[in-house]
Amino acid sequence: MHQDHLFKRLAAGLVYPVLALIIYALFLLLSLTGFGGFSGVANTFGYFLPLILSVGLAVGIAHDKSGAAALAGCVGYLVFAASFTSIVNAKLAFDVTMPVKIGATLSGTMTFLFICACLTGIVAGWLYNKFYNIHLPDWLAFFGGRRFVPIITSVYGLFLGAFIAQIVLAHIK
Amino acid sequence: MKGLGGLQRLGKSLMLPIAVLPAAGLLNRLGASDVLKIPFINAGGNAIFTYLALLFAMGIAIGLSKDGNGAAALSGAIVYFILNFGVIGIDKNISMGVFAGFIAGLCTPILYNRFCDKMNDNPYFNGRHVAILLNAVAAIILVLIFGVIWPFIQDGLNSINGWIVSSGAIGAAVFGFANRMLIPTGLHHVLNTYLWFGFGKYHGVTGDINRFFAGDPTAGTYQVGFFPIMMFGLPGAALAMVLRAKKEKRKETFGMMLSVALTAFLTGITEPIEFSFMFLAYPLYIVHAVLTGISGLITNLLGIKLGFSFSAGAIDFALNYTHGTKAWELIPIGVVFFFIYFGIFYWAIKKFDIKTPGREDDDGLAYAGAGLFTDQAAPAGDSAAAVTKDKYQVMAEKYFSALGGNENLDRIDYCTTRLRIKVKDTDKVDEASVKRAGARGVVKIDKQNVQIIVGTDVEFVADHLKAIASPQAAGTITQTQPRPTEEHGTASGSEQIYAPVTGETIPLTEVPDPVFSQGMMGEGVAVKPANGTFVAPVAGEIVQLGETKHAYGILTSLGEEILVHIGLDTVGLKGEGFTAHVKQGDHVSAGQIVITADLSVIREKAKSDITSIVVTNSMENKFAFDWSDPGKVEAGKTILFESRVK
Repeated sequence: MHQDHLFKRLAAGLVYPVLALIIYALFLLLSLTGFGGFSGVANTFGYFLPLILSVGLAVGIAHDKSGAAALAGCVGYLVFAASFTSIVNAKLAFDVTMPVKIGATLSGTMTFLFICACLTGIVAGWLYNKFYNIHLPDWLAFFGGRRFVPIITSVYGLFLGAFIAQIVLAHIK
Repeated sequence: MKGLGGLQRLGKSLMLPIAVLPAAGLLNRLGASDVLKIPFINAGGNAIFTYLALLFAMGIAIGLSKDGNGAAALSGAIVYFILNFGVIGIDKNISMGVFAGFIAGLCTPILYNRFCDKMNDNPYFNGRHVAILLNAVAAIILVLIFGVIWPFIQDGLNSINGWIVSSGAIGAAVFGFANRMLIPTGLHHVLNTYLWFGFGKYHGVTGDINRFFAGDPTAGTYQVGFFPIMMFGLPGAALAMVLRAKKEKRKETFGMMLSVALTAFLTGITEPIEFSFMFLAYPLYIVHAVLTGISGLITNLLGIKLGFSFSAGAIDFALNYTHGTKAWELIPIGVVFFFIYFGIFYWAIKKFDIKTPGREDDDGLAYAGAGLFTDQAAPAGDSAAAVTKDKYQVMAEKYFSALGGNENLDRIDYCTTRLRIKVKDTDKVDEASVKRAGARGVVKIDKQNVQIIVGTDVEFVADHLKAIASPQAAGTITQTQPRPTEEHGTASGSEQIYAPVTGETIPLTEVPDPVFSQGMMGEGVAVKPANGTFVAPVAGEIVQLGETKHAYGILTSLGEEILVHIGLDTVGLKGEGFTAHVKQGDHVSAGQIVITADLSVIREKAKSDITSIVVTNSMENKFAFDWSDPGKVEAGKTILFESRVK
């Protein structure tokens, strides 16, 4: 019953990264004042845009726009990026604001991460619609329902990261 | 968001991010070099611990927002980025850690709740989006405030940390005791959060749990003491309760206690056991809290270190075993605690004749399975009906009436095992009925807040309860409201009822829902709407307009009660797609906009968008109706029917 308006829901999800871009632009502008509080945000906010894209798409796809889907989108991207980073460069400790280099330029790296964020966001939203009302056995029931979604998304994120780093990236190179 | 109730909602909000931690712990341990040695799995788990503050910001924002929408989470995340990196930009020595997440999560809903339900008919730009933008600007204020004051708070926290560290094992004992004593109020989450996620520092991570997973050999102080209690002590108490149950009820009690003891042993979720004696035997609960403190003391004095990602159950024990220090010693200690608990409970239950499960006087109540009461006194027909319904639906219906119904209910939340209900007056809550409906316990926190301990499957009960609680199918609701008939009953004359929405009329008998088509709600007519603007069909007082906003009732000057029910089965949308422009108690004139609805949402998610207009008190036979069959109607302009007093 949620199939018909997939594009519409994707579009609604894409509004969030657009809002984040506006906020990013605001802080870039404010950082011209030279005040550290603004430049601290302006220097790092860009690195979080893929994460916001992932969260936004997850929320958009989720049939009831629940916050649990947002959390899943966030967890999915974080785990993906960490798993990916550890394979591309084992020495680098994972940090969103210091993305591991892919190719020669930073903008190339970020473009790649944006594409990956689309994937994690869509996967998180899809998993939400699939699992938001899952019933687990009594002794695990706490982790059932919506709480299950970020958990299962972390597993998908993990293997998505490994897959892209090991196989997709190797072929691109 | 006031006082105790507010703190409790904060505790509840933490559940969503905390539920991810076992996944993080599992990945961290499985991937670690002493287990499977797969770095990328380990790194994935660590990422969740590293960005716990971000997850807290999102979780708290969701929990404190009015609608639990993803937009609140996103706004919380953005405020967190701005706050965290803004203050570092001001002073690079500042490290707010998990606190930045807390502050961002707490502040986000202030503006968000104000805007989230405005202009709701546009999915691409509405109040939620405005709130995200405004929150980002407001976050600048947070940056300025905390950029200046945080260095001082940081000094204060450092000295508190020093004090806690120097208190050593005694500190762990006090924490264990306080943690258990706070369980009845649900405030233990707030205490835990500082020690587990904010306290101490090791390689850039803070908190006893985070440091344990980052490899800090001193971490685990505030976790290790729970293992003997949760894995061994409480199951011992459960065994004592089984053996002390009445002979004829022993088998049922065994089934129930096995399930809760297994839950405690494996996952470390102990509330189901604790609530089975907490209120029946308060001194016994204090003994339990003291023993928890003693366990913390002993384990720390012996230099045992072990942590958990979620709670002190066997799963966490096994995963973290190789990472702990002398963790095997917890097993003999646990066995000792098992016998201590068993002995104390076995003796005390008999001595003081405590009515633990399976010992209650014969009042027609018995435990069945996982803590669900079956009411043997109930007529057979009732239980037959119950079989066809979801068991959670049945529980929710019972809770609903025991809580005093819609008149008394204000807000429904839930966390690990309990429903957290805000009511108008807790005196109206019928505790006995709540317990008979299957609750393990009921706690009246204050005049407005009550908690019902359901079990780990509470989410499903809460979902059903929310669906029921939204004032649905007007009939029952308007019936219970004192009707000002004296005022209106004498009115004579006639009035015209206009179409509430533009569209095409359909006879009520053709509405695909027997509630309407068979006239159970009263006489009326239906309209297939062409757009989503719903107006008042007649002047009068809005006597019914609930949170779900899918139906509204108007009491006219003639004394008629007109119900406009938008779509079919739309109560399940819980208000999604509906925006109310008036509130209950308002006086409206005919043609005034009451609700705007997103018909695409209704068509997609509900059974139908056919809107029924019925006179819910037509059964009283006071009115005569002149039906016109206009076909195409225009909202507020075309007359649907004329009523006059007989």
